Amino acid sequence: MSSRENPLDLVLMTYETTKDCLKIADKVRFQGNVALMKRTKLILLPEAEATDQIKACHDETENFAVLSLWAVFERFVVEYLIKKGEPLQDIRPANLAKGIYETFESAVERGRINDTLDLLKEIVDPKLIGNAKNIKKYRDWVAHKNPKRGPMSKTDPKFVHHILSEIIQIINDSDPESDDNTPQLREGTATQ
Amino acid sequence: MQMNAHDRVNEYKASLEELFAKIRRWVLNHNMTVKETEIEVSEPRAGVYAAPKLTIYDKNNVALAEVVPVGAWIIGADWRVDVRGHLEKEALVYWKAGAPLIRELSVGGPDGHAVEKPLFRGAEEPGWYWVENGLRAKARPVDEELFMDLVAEVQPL
Repeated sequence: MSSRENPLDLVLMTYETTKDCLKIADKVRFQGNVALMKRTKLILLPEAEATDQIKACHDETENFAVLSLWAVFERFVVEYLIKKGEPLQDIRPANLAKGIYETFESAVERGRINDTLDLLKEIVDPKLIGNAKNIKKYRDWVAHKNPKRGPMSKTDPKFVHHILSEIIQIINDSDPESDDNTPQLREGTATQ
Repeated sequence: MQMNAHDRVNEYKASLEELFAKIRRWVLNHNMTVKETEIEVSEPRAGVYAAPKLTIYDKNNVALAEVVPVGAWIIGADWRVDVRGHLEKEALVYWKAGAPLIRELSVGGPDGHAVEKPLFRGAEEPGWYWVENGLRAKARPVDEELFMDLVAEVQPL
């Protein structure tokens, strides 16, 4: 990973810390330590309901993490491409530049993310882009849970973080403004 | 001596009947009526058991609220019923010996100095309580005025 900050790390850290906190909460509940549960909503729940809520929260945390990781990744890609399009504002004749740039910006902001990801295939291994599109499908299922489409095969936040971070790393390393200054096509290593 | 699950359920039901007897008297003072039915309560320690439930009606026989048993193994109390309406519910809990005392580190006191405090303030005696404010850990004994306020608060069924 380049020295640049990975915006997905905070999401993964939040997910892992939340899971740890839930483990602690589950232990406290199991041990019946009411002092530690004072001033919480768990304190007046039946034991089984508290256990069920902690378990449900644990499972849902995975889904929230996948949703968050995708949202942060998508924003990163969109902002990267919009920045790459900024020279369009300098084209001649100048009175066309504003409209051309705004059309480009709108296409990146509002276009289908799969089309946007395809643009990156020139610098990112298409296999990794394929992995990202599968993550997007899973993300859509988590967000909408459309029964007509059936549940997707499950993925987990660590795998999602790994794939999307690899793409971010390649984008950063390929950026002429980065330290090594060498745009290049790199192969992804992760599969699932 | 550790009470077995069967005995605890029986004690819970007796406590419910005691509360329901009071509720019957209270609602009469407000031209209301009650109907008692049974529901099944499921708890890991006791399995499924039947327990009484009260429905409260106004003078026009409109159902206002239900008093529903929740369980006999509550984390921070002994047992619980809910006053449930259309939109809201309020929990009433029972402590056999008042809210338990817990050891907490005193704020601003000497390092490591722990003091004993009740889990909920205001719940020193055995009885049914409404937890007025969970964050402040404050409880109030259930009496006629409080109970009728809760019935009004939860909205008609």
